Amino acid sequence: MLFTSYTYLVFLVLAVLVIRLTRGIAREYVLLAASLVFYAWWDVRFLVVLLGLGAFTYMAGRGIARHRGRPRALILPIAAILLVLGVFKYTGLLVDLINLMRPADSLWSLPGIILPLGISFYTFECVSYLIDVYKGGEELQPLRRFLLFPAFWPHMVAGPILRLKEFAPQLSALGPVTAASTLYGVDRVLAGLVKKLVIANALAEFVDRGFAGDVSQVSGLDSWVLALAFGLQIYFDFSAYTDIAIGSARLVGFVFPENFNLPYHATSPSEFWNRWHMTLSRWIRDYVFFPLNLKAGRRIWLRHAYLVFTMALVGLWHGAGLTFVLWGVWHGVLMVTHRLCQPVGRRLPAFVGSVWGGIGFVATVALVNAGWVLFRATSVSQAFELFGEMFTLQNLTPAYGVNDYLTCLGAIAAYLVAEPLLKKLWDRNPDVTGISELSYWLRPAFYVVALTLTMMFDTTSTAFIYFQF
Amino acid sequence: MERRLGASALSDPKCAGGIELHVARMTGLAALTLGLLAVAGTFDCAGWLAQRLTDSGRRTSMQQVVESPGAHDISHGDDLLAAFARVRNPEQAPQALVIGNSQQYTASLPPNADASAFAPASLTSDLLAARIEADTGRKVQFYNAAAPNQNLVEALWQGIYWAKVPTTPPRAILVQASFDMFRKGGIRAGFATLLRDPQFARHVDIWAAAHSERAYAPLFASQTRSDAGEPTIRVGESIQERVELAIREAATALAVYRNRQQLRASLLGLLYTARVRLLGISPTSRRHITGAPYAQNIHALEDLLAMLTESGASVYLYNAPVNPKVAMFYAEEHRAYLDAIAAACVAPRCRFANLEHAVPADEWGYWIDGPDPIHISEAGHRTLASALYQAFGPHLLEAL
Repeated sequence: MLFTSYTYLVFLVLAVLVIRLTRGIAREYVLLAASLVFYAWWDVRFLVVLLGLGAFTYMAGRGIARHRGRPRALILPIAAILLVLGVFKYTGLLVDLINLMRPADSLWSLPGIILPLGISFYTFECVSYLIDVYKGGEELQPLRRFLLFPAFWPHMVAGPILRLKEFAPQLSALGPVTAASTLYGVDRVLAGLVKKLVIANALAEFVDRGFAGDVSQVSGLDSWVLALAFGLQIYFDFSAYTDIAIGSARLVGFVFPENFNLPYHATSPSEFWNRWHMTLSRWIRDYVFFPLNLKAGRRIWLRHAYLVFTMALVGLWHGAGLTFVLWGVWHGVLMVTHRLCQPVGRRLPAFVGSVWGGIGFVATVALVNAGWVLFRATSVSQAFELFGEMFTLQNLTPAYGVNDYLTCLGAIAAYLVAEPLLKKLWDRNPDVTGISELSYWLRPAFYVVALTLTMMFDTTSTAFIYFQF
Repeated sequence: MERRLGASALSDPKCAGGIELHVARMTGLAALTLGLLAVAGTFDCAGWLAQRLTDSGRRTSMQQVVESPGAHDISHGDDLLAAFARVRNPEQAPQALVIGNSQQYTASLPPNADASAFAPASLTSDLLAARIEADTGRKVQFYNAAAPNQNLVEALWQGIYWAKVPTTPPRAILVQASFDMFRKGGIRAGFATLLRDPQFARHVDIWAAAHSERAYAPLFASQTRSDAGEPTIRVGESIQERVELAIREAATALAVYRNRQQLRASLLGLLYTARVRLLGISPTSRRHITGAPYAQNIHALEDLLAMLTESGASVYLYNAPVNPKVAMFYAEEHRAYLDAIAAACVAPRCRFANLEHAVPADEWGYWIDGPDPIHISEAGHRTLASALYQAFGPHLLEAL
């Protein structure tokens, strides 16, 4: 079920009503049933994978709890879970790599493997559960409660990636949902819909066209515009999804961690990853990078190598392709470079330091967005063609339509103005339900504007006659 | 009451419950929202604002035009599959085809003119058919397959349909080239609907495979790989689709949902008007044609002309009229463009005419801030039809 479908909105209203009418164990069953319906709506066959993986993790968790201190009890189930992920997600990549070494007339063909929706997020949560239990965390019992942890519908498909310690206490303390939670949830769902349907989709039209075309003809200026447009598109797309997820969870009484914190305000690549897909960053940091870093000890070069390796894994997790791995390596190299430059920045006088900060901001925005080319390109050669134009700047003639540039400018304005404003409003502490509050009376207007925009832009069939001039 | 609503609130036990729902206030809020939503669709706020922004009250007026599904794509590119299905049978098949942009299916009126005072205008394709009938007594069935901002990649896309799919393909095909087309790229969803015709889908696949080196190839590939031809709402193929459709049906009870297409068009119109009025970037602003869009369109034009000629049709390319009051081009690019489109006609031996100056200044429309660069009046259509007849007439008659 897509978050942007009308079916989801009806599902959400019904689910919220039923969940609020139930208490205790009944509520847990309703939450689980709603999550399974949500998933089955996409493809009922994959419920077997979902439930099977969940039940296996549950059993493995019990085994780990009984045999804490035995690494094998942890490693084997994690390997099994990652094997499932590997079969679904990376078989194609493996076959491609093998085919590179085989003669052209005897290439392996691959039976069509459908990637179960959200399998990457689901498996990461299963893995983190097992590690947390191994480290002394409490098991989540009984099975229905455990299954809810990775399968809870608002975060099942694309996060935020929850930790056991965030989820379990909330499940235990489930009580009536507050009015403030309800309004907060509705606010975030609607904001997410507008961000996705109005802003991200408008950028997508331009970006898809740009990357589908012959990029050898794209000028240096336009290559940067295209990279920036995709950087904005993926931000608005993914943060919109997160808004809807967080809002949906809040409507049934759960608080999810934030996933984005104005990432393009970052002044260094490391800061970017503290603001971008934050729940993935901390997962990778805690379960992959920190253990590797400990292993490296005082060998600085090895720490740097592990950092690049970790980021390459982040890339591979995003997609089974060389472009994704290179995107991860790109970020790894940026972070290592930043670490090497840090001592220089610290030695500078204060006034030069602020200029240094400004340079850091510009460089981070530019290089992070350049990195998006690797993420979005259809092939490595396409990415390098665009890089060639971007970093030589031989041709600065704008060739896209003026509306393409204006769409990007509009998205930048939305990012710079609307996003901080929304964040501020959501972080405030008003009595949002008090009729004496201005926000109580302004809310319906905001809701109507958001709903109207959502309805207007949920289709792609309208082309205004002069719009492209 | 909740204090913090961000990630830091995770440890706040109050967030998971503890306060009873303020039912009355929430119901009041919901009622207010629904009430406002009910009236939101009845007033076109964006349209009203756009009107206020137009230049000293001078309003663009368009005349109604004579169109019929048997002789025009009345979807104007929004659903080619449905439009072309109406003329697929041999007895309805057109003998002559016109491929072009909105110049081909609109008729401008003077500013502030009352459109209701004018009878529907005849379009170039129909006037050309009438001229042929008047001169020779032969009734020729023309089909006007024009779409707004149609680029040459899209023209090639529909050209593949016309050359390969109908059992009786058109015998004469007029292709309009316009400087503005060469800045555009992509294949819109309405054109991609043709992919649901298995015959067309097969031919496009073959074409894309055989022309993978051409600049437009990635655009074709992206369409054939994806399900872009699928409409946003598919009718009742699965329970999920049926449910989505039923909910959307129910949503039509709301005026704002019923009028959403019009509201969206008005909002986009407002943004466009604001761009023209506030930023000074108008349809007549000088613009570049260069880079990827230009290369894609040139390659598509060359392949379109070659393919149509090989299919046995007589093909005629003309450079579209441009309003003499506007200068949209950079001279060097304009020269290169004219050379390129004329050169595209050489190998396939199709006929070319440059009609850039064919329509005089007083037969053009008015758009927001000044002369319309694309759209002509009813008189302009008559002039253009006459110019086309003069340029191609004898050969057209021979082909038909």
